[in-house]
Amino acid sequence: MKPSPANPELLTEDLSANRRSLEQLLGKCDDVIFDVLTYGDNLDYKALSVYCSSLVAVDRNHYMMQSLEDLSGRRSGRAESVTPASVERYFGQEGATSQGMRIVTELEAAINLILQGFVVLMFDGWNRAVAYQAPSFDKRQVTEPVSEPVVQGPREGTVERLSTNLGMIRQRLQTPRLKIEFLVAGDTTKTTIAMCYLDNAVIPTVLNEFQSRLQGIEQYDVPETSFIEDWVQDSKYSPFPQYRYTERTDAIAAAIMDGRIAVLVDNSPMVLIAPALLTDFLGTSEDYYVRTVFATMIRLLRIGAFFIALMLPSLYIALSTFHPEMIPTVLLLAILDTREGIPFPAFIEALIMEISFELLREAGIRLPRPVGSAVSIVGALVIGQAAIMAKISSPIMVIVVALTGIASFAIPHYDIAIAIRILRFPFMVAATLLGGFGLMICSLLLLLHLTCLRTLGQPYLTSIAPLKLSDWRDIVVRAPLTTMLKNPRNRRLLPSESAPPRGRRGRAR
Amino acid sequence: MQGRADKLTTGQLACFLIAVSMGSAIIFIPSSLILTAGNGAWLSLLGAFGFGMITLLCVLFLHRRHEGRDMVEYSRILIGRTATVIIMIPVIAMLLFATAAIIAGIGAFFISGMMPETPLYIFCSFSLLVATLTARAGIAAAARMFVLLVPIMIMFAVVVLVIALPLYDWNRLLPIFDKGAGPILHGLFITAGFPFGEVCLFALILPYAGKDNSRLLSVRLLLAFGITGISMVIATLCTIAAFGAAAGHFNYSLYQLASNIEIGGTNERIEAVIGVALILGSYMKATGYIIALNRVLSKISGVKDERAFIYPLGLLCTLLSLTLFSSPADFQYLVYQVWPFTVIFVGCLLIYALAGLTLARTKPASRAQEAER
Repeated sequence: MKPSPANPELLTEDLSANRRSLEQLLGKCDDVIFDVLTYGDNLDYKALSVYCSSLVAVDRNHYMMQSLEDLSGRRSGRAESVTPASVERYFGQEGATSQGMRIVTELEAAINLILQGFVVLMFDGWNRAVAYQAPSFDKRQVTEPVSEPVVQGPREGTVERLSTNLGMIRQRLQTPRLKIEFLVAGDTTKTTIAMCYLDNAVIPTVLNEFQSRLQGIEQYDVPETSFIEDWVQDSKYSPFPQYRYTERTDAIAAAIMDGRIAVLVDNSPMVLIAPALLTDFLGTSEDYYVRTVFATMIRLLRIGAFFIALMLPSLYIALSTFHPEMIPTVLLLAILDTREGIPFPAFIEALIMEISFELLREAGIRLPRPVGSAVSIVGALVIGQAAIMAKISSPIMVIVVALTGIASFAIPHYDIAIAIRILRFPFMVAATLLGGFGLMICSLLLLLHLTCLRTLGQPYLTSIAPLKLSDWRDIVVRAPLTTMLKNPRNRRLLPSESAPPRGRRGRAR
Repeated sequence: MQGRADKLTTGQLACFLIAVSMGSAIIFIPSSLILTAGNGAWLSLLGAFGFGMITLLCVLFLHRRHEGRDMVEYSRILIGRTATVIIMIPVIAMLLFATAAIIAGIGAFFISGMMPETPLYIFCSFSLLVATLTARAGIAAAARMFVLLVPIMIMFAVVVLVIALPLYDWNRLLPIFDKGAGPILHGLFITAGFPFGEVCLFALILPYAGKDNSRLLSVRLLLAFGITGISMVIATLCTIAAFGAAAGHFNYSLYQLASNIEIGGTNERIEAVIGVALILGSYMKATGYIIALNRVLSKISGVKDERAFIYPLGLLCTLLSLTLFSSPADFQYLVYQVWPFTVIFVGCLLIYALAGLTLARTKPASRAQEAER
């Protein structure tokens, strides 16, 4: 921001000069309102109220009147006797007011506050300004997150307002060990980024690594949380997400207690959890709100869904093209019967169906909700039924693609489901070219990639490779909650006087 | 020396040992061994396992006595720099041959049964590509993968052996010495070289162990080697029980066993799992050997980049796997006759000689201290 030429930074005692400087810098900002008010005996003295009408949703006189009432009642006796000297004395010594206020001396700071939704008051003969935070326009209320619904459990989701989100986290973690560090990024957006972590739970090296990676981001405009992810992630071209997003405050609190770092960005409800391991993407908050046996079965089902979503079409192609002898005879005959008259090889057939399915899914997401569901239903009917009738695809292929789609929907996190959707196609190509051998090669390459992948320096496959069987009680199955409370999986409580007592096998790892 | 990131835990090293010592042998060995040793094949295996144990103990002894140095480093200490270069030439040749043979084995398996129309170079090049990329990723990444893959490989073999229970006729295990002790000794010679004697090459992998807890390391490695031995014996016993002496005439007896499994009266053709086990075993063993080869070459040449030789070695092994074996008979001859001889009389003998030299050069006082420890 360019400073005023007369006085590069500071406000002057001349109200007109201050107004000119502000008008020059805020030129063509028609929503910024300049109100000149008079006060004192015979209304001899002038004051200027500046605010952004698109951000402030209250009567403009409210603050001025209230401040002067405060001042006259406590310092000057009568409202008419208020003078610039008393204004200066009262506000300069931070006299008590009915509103929280800030004293500003710099022009740039005054403009910043105006653009943040403050009402800035300037008085003739005083080279400072008083700024009040005015209630801004309404934002979205706290509702249940659309992307992470639950049947049982809390329904509180984050919103676009940072302070509300931080408040909800503070309510869940009422400990001074919860640290919140702010960072303002970008000259244009001036986005506030909040980094939350639990002292003594987060691994210091991970925290240092994250902080060092975040360095430099303040120079750039950060409109959304995803920009931070891209800024700090280990591998930009991997299809696998290395950080997790959530809108659930219970999930954020649990992650922070597990020693993760939560990053919140003002004007975005998406909260970034760092680091995120592959196993984190297969769990949901609800796993901890239902009975152990059910949660375990669901987790096993989800692991199955992961592999089905990734490999079922390619497995079908490999078996039907290269290794038909491995399909049980009765099933093989049924497949051959349904494939009779299909002009395409299994790969093309699968590709047509998969691409149609992906198109339907994308169209269903982008269209308005009522239309979207209609498109999905009509599309599924047309693509499924008509493709079979037209001999473009066999019924068994429709079943395979439908099962794959359903399995991908069973994966709780959208980011990892996208990775699987992308990887399904190379697997299909490998199965078409080399059958089972190609599938094995692809699987080994995928495992190699996952083994080498890191998130904030931690192995992405932690608990799987390197193998920690004791962690599987909260990955493959879900142990009873009492066991987990006594001995949390990831809750690294580093030695500290303030740390609560650990469980039987709780350890600092 | 490698960085901290390249240090393996004892559990990872134990899995690495199973991967390198068993590898694909569990698929290849039973049939060729039964062809040679008949029903007494399992006795040959037991004897060879004992030989392998002695070799492993020597490797562990050298590792402990030379404070975690590798074969090249303690050879330099014991016999000098020039002599080390000379004796490492056959070791390098052995490793090159072994890697090429392992990969050629994958190709031979697929061409002979599952995918006869696909050219050999496809299997060899893709298998070595994955092995080379894994080796390039570093031994730590490879070890982390092997901890997952070794149980899968063993589980697949065990599943086949268990489901095939109705096929077993335990009377087929007898008679044992119907042709005298000769065939069994011949079988012992083969399996002492392949796979048990190959443990001598583990002297190049062992330096990746962390320096702490050497006793636990020894225990776990001996246990891992025991798992290899037991698995091989069980696979061989089951193969004999299923097919009797005819097992020797099948190229891949476990594959045949899997293809004969019937559930509910119908043939279930679950031999694909044996294919998976073979690919996994071969891939892990080839990766381990490429890492060992790279280590020998980088130590001898003294290059700064410790992974400099991996890609050239991958290419070389691919070409060798395509050109080294002129026919399946040639493959059989080289792998089951020449290779065991080389392993025993070059690899194992070298380890024994180095162990003897180490022992001879250790002062009696320090030997007593070592014994006390």
